[in-house]
Amino acid sequence: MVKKRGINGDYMKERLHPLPLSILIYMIQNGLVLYSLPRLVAEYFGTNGWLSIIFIFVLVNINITMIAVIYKLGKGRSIFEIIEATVPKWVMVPFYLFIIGVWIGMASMNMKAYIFIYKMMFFPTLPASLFIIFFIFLSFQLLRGGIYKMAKAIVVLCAILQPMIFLLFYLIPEFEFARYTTFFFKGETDFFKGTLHVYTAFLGFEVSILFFPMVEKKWTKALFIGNFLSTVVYFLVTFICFGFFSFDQILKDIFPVMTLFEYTEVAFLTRAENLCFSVLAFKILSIIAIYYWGAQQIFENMFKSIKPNFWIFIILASGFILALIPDSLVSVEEWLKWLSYCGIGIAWALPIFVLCILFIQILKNHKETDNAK
Amino acid sequence: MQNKITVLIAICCLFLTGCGASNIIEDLAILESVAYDMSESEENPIKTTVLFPTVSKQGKAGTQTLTANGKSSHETFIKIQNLTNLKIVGGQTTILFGEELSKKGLIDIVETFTRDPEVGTRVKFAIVEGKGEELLKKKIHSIPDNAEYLYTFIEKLGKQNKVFNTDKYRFLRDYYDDGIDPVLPVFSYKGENIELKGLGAFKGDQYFTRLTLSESQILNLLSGDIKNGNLMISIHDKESGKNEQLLLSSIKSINDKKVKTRKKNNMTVEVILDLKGSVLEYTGTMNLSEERQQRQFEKQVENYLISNSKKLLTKLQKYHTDPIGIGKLVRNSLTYETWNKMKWDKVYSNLNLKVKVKVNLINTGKSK
Repeated sequence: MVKKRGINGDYMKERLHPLPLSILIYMIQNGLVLYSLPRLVAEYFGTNGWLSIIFIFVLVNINITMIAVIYKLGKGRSIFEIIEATVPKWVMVPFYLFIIGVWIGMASMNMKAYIFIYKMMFFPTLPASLFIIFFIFLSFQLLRGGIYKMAKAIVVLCAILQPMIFLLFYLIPEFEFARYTTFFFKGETDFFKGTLHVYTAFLGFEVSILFFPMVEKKWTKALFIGNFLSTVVYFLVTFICFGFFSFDQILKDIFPVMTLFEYTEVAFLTRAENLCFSVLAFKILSIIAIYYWGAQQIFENMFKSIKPNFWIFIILASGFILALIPDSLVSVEEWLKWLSYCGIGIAWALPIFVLCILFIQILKNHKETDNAK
Repeated sequence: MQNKITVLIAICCLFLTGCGASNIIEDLAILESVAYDMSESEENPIKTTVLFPTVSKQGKAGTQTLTANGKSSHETFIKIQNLTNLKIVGGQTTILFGEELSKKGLIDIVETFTRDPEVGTRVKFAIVEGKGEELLKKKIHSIPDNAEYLYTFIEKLGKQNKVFNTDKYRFLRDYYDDGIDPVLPVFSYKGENIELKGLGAFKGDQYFTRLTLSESQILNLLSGDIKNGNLMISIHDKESGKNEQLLLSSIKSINDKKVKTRKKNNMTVEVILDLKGSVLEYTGTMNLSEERQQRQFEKQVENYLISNSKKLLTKLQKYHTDPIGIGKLVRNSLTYETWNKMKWDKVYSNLNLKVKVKVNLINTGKSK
């Protein structure tokens, strides 16, 4: 007999398996930052800045551990159930709306930033709205399928995207260890700002706090694996960049990874950056879809009587309008910067808040059981 | 049904993206080569010459060159745009710099390329003795397209001799690095052909001195490891008083550099070369098949390489240019503060540079 996954074998309520989940986590971690990541670490962490990725990785892992602990202590309850058992819903509404706003904003700004860079590189005269419609339309298709189908689709998108990383090996002939220098974290550095900036490269996993009712047991390892995959990619790319470019050259280049791919020349492919950047659209699409999905989940929880599809329309419409607002790459980056800071705030504050509530609940239970005795 | 509509809309969106801007190949002038020179006018100091292929209605292929003066490289492009009915777009180009302009400094021009995504990182760079414009305009019967000829020329050079492999990425990489200076090949158009004259050594972004072809060979050996190279040298034989020609082929050389920075006033960098190769040509009188004579001969080659390397290094130190990247090694053996405080330029010109060479002849060919 074929073993059916899900709740009582119900296909519609199938639960997410850890493997696609880890790929999902990897795919929804911010993709666009990768293109400027080597410059960011060089700018803020100075010489041999690539090592900073390890520190940030540890920080992100602490963040993820909090989510894992919440899942364990909450015994599979969704965070809404946990929160609303102690705090009345109307108190939470402004916070919910803030999170929704930040997530929709992050999705739209990521989309717009990608479109701007894409236009700069390949289609300077093409209207941005056309691309936005395209992204919104595809996200609509993904959102309608629900998280399970989204995860499946994102795994396929990942399979298309991933081979690009092997192109890096063609750069090895230009690689020289002398360029790393023996100086560590020297130059004009600003570790705090740098940590914030580099942390945005790992953002995305925070949406996983909403996954609790949709996942199989022992899923939390997927979070760590997904994050580890991202780190490996970030680490590899920044490491190669520091041996491939000279230090000041990285500082001068806005998108060093673009230049990196530009230099690859394979027998069947020259200037691979066109292909790589176009395929990156899949990663951006995953990020957009998952943030919109997160917003939709919160909306659904707030007003349970309204159909989920209604929220999809509201979210996509507001996402579309938001994406139309900024009209230059600089303003998108400014938006993205502040939204990412808020995103980091949410990534830390929300789990801490839920943990606090859980502790209160556990303490209460203890007292009640003690009193009963 | 709904799925079909979805697919239809998706396909429509995809095709719509093609309506934004179209480039029809007949209406384009795809640049094959661009040359930058100093112009005579003070107001418009930069002279740009572009070369692009043309096809006549009869199907005859040819090339066309256009020149304009301007205040900046992009201003000249706009002026050139007004000289033709075609739309000018970048291609896989060779970019030439006139001698005079190279001596003034290239970074202003090169940096504008880094803004423009059309200019790839593999774009070839070279210096022209005299004017780059003249080289592009020169008509040579056997060469139908100067730009393509140059591109393949530089590519071939890069394969034979690593230091000649110069493109935008390498130039900028070495320019921005604080312990190495860039180099570019130097071409000349005087005479019947386009000729490679040697290697132009830079200090920062300024062309300082030209290394001859044999000096470039030595520089190649001193710069890094070689997997398959050739070396043509002529050794002066004291006994006969004649110059003997020697061609070493299939050279495999391992390059090791040692830095001693303990004494601040007397820093030493030692380049240790371990070279293996086979003899393809030898015009001297020695019997190379005999082991004793072969060892003696190896010694001669070693001495030749040491004395010529020293000459080259003295020349480089005299012109304060460091294409080998000795600065990188010194930097990596010092602390960050010491390196930044140190005036590397001054230290470099007084640096104690030593060369140690070990030559092994793998074989001496088929005949005695």
